[in-house]
Amino acid sequence: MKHDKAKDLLQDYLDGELAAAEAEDLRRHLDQCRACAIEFERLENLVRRAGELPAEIEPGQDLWQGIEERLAKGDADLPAETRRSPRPVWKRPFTLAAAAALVLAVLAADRFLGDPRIFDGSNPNETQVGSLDFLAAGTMQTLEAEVRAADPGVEAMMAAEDDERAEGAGPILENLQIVNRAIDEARRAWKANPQDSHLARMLISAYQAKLALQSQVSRIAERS
Amino acid sequence: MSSAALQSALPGESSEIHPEVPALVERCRRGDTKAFERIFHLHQGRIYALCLRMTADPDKAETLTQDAFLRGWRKLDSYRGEGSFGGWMRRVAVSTVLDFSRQEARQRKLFRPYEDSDPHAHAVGDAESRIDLERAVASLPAGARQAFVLHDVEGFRHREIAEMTGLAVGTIKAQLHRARKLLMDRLGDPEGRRNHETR
Repeated sequence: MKHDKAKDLLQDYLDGELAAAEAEDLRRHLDQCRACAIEFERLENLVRRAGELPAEIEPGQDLWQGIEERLAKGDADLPAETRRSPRPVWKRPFTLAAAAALVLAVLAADRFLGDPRIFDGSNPNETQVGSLDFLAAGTMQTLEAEVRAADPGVEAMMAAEDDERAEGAGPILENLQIVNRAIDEARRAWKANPQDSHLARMLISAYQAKLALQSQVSRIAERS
Repeated sequence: MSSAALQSALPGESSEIHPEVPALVERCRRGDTKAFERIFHLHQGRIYALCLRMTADPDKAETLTQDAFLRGWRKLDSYRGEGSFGGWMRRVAVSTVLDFSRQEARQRKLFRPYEDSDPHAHAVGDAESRIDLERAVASLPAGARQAFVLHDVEGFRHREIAEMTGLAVGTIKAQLHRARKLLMDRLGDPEGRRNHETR
């Protein structure tokens, strides 16, 4: 058996996937080829170590309490994927209406966002009222308000020294900084090109991402 | 170690056999949550370990462990007692994690992977090499990590993993092979080299 072919078949051999004749050829090659023999031993060693990892790891907190509460509420009947961590935006209390509006706004953007505007906190003008522009603007306003409401706790954690932060918060806060930059850039781009519905979608997605990260930070802060 | 030996040494199977489980399952079928609590505590370490290694994220693993047990409670009628309850529960957990991964992939394309997080930080005190391996596994790309955890750690066969994930056997094997190569690169495996050098 040629060296290159033997090298390609090492993992199949390890997993018992080769036919008897091919396995015999490979065994003969391993007797003669030091490089393949070393590679095969490394593979065996890795798989042996994986098999020796402890089968059980205890979680850091008692998980039964949460299960018991959900059983009591009848939440066991909900599809598991609707109760994620981080909790999906539409499960948050900031209103199902906003989520519905967001979906409608994104779906309708191509056809109806003739003059979408970043909503800067002022009331919608007459042009916006009665059109889906208003829907998009209202959605954006709701998202911005939600982000602002969650910001104080997050900002406090971001301002804290590394060793004062809750365990596990570091990578999430780094991601928050990235998302904040994405929001700033998307806002600037959409203001410059308000006709571009793709930029509107990008901004909405960035806000969604920020809300999800804020939710994660809140959960970590609650536990610490 | 031969392939047959590897397969016969599937990790943790013996720990899944608890004599009291069949009676507990029957009580659960009648809505006895105390019996379910006992079942939970008998299996939570195993299910949490699976969720943690598949997600490489302790927060998600905790939530998914809870979700998996609630899904198990909801689907208890589909467990017919033909295999161990622990094995059935592990399949429920794998399905729960995979559903989450698919949903997450759709929703969170903006996020970077949490490469800097340390999902096994609480396992301090175990052998250094085990921690190195756990960390290296956690750093793998999601698809490769899940294939490696399900095959080499949990002991599922290629075909079983393909059925659970809905992917082709060839795809699973490719992910598994990729995972092993990445792990060997990242771990260096000095032990294997040393053994050969001393021959």
